Amino acid sequence: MMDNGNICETSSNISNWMESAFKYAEEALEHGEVPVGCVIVHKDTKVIGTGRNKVNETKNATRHAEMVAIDDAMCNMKTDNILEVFSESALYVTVEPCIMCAASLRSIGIQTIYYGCKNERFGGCGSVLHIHTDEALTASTGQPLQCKSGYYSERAVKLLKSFYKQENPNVTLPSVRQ
Amino acid sequence: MEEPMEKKSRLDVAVLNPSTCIKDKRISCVLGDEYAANKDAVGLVKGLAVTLTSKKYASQVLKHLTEYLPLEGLQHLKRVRSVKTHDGDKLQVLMFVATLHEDFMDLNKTLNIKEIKPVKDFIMDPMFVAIPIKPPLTRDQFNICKQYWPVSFHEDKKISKLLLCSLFADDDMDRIEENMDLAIETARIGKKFDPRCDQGVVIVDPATNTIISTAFDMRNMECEIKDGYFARHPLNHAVMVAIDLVARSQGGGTYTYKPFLKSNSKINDGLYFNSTLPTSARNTSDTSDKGYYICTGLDVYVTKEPCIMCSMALLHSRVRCVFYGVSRPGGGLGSAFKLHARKDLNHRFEVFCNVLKSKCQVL
Ligand SMILES: [Zn+2]
Ligand SMILES: [Zn+2]
Repeated sequence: MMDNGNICETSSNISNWMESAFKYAEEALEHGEVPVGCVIVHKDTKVIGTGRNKVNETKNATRHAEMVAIDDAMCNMKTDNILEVFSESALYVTVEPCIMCAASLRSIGIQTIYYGCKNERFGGCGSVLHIHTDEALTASTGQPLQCKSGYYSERAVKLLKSFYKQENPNVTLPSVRQ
Repeated sequence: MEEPMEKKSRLDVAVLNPSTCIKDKRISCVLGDEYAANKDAVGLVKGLAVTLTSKKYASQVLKHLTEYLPLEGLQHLKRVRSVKTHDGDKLQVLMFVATLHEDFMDLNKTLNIKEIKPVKDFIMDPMFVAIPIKPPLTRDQFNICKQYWPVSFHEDKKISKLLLCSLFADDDMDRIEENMDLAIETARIGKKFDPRCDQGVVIVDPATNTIISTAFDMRNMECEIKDGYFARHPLNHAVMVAIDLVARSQGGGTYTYKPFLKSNSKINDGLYFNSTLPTSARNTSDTSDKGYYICTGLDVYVTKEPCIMCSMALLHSRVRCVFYGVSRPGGGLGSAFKLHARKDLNHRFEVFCNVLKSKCQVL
């Protein structure tokens, strides 16, 4: 596991992509939304979609950053074969995708997910359920999804904490567990 | 990736999930695995029991055990049972349970520990027994437990009613089936646009039996994503559309669903949201986070079991109850998972299946 910028993957771009994901998480915070942000990157070269939480804005509890970014990528690419594009793309997100988002990302065939901190409450990539790899879902939801975690997780937790503190000082905070 | 087409010879959810009630033909409740009528649910562990040399020592031995070796947290377990031996009827006493007394689980040494000394002369024949470690939640579990060791059972009336499917009166059932009929009709309207559409959803406010939204599976239909861009959206499952239309009815929402959503949509149009609700009707406490969970208190009717994404979307939206017609492989409310019954997620809701099952099956 990597943390705090000690990234030693062959792709030196990971930290750059994560940095942009954080930009959208911070934007979410400014808009009074749970601070989660993400970017979808095609072939490790180009950001094709970005997203931040819009649950409040849309009054729709399913408008998580990942769902917003998927729509954004569809509108930017305007292709009839968006699934092929997704199969060549990675998602960089500040917090582990929830069960819903993990299922949706797996079903559209995203190649790899890179995420920051764990999502102890809803995490679908190992924290609560293993939606990304569960074999019982292959027939209905597609091939397993590769996940890599621990990128700047403390920074992601700090952002979440600053949100929940202003919302409700008594809430149980997500912890960084690797 | 699309959800696979349903096979007609699919297993019944009741077969897949022993905890599911099959007694009533009109509806079945999908309870969590902890209610299943099987050995796993009652959790058998090793216990160590001894036989009293004479029944007359029973109160003395029990008093000693209660004081020095209490079965903490296992109040459902009785301490004594009667057994037939070649020597006539005897009393057998539960001394240790593996989860509490791991160190004492040894047939040879166990009677020599200091906690036993004062009653040592009254006991004999130590033997291992199987102990149901969890208190029985249902009468069926109670009957399973009793086969191993006597336990007490406190019946939860609501759970019993759910298991017997007697929670709903006849006119409730009629209303439930009416709403499901609308979900089926909604799926049929979707089918006119694309024959692969097999999913219809109706979201209802049960307090007034008001329809809030209706939707069908739109994955194979070109509709507006954003700013005049039209495409087939792989995530436009019927449930996701219906949730977004509830948001729309409250002045929110993400998509226009052009050209499928008419400007003055009616309940039988396939895609519908109730535009007559005051936008703050159901969210009076705007300071609390309830405002985001727009489906709080609403019931959802869906022809086929929601996939895992849609099941979690319903949980995020804090729905009150989900009724579905037929289960499907990979489903999140009974088949692959029971998201609605998990204690580690922050919202739980009731789920009933087999509502107008045969009608939903042929969609
Ligand atoms: Zn999510
Ligand atoms: Zn679905």
